[in-house]
Amino acid sequence: MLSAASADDLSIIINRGDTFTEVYMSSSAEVLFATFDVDPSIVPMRDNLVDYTDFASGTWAIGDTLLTGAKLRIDQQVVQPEAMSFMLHPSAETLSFETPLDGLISIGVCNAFTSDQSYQLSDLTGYVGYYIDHGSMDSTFDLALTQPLTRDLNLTVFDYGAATHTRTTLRFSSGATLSVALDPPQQTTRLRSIVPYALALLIAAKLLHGLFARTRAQKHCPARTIGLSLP
Amino acid sequence: MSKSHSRRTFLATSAAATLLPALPLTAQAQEPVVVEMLTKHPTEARLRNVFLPRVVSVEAGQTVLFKATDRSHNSASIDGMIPEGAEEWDGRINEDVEVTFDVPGVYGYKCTPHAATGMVALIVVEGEGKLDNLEAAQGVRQRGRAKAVFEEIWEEAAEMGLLEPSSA
Repeated sequence: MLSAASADDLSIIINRGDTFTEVYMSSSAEVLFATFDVDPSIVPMRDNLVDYTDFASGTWAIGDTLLTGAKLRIDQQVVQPEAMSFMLHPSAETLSFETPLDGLISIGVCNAFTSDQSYQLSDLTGYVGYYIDHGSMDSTFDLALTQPLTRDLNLTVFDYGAATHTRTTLRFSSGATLSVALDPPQQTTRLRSIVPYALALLIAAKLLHGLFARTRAQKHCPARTIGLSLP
Repeated sequence: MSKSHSRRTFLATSAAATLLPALPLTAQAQEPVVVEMLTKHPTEARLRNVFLPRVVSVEAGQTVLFKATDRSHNSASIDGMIPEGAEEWDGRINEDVEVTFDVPGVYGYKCTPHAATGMVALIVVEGEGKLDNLEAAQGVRQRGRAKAVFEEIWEEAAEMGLLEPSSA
């Protein structure tokens, strides 16, 4: 069995709104294109370096192309995601990528196209965001690729619903077909995690109450009434 | 840090430019209305890539300065979202740009690289016929987040009373 470290990593953030769904994805650029089976030559390059000047006119076409081999269903209905933006940031400068705001920040085309720095695709991490004019906090979400993976893949999904979120890690072996089927994150998930703490608090409160009761009793009664054997 | 401040002035319509001398002196002499182009909203952290303010009302003949407060943004008119006879504009990234609006109407505009993430906004130029292109502008298909943001913008403009017929 391969270790987790030897597999590629892909992260997905799902942001569920009242009437829409947003999806953000991040992975090393090479893994991103390999996973979605898209030729990375769609990224503007010059002398084998990413040409950020072309990013200034918008990068959603790259994002749209990335998902051409994927099928997304929300509430069992096939939907067409619209790419908002695609961005490449240096892998050496890791960006936080766990929340919808992280996703939005990461896909923002930034100063790169006016920077003197040049990068090869292999030095970069890809970030892409999609907007789907469909869905709700209670929708089911089902993303599937049509072609099998060529390498092992660790997938982490951050799913944000109504006032709660979940984090799921899935592992796919080479040759498998990536498929993510999610129910909406439920408030009960959070409640379930609160229950042990609430019970512990109740028990602690009961114990404290008992202790105080004994202390009060000690003030008015002989020590033996609380079972202590004092001289 | 100094910023590049090459300013470009666009006349929203050449036809209306001929009418400019007829405009009230107050309108001609007014300072430009400033719209900042920001990567992060100054008070609402969840809002990224914004024009501030995002709904602006000006008199015909007045100028708006789109200020490149943060880098990587520009201001450009959206196809189908400006009145008939008005000229499109397309500011350069990282540069301030001044646009003079002479034709009454609604003007939807965007930051080119960030439009689909919702960096869009509206200018309403007061004057007769200012709502003539409202339906057409509202019917323009928006990509990504821009659709939801424009829904908010139309609502905001209506609440500001900007989508009522001009009294002028």
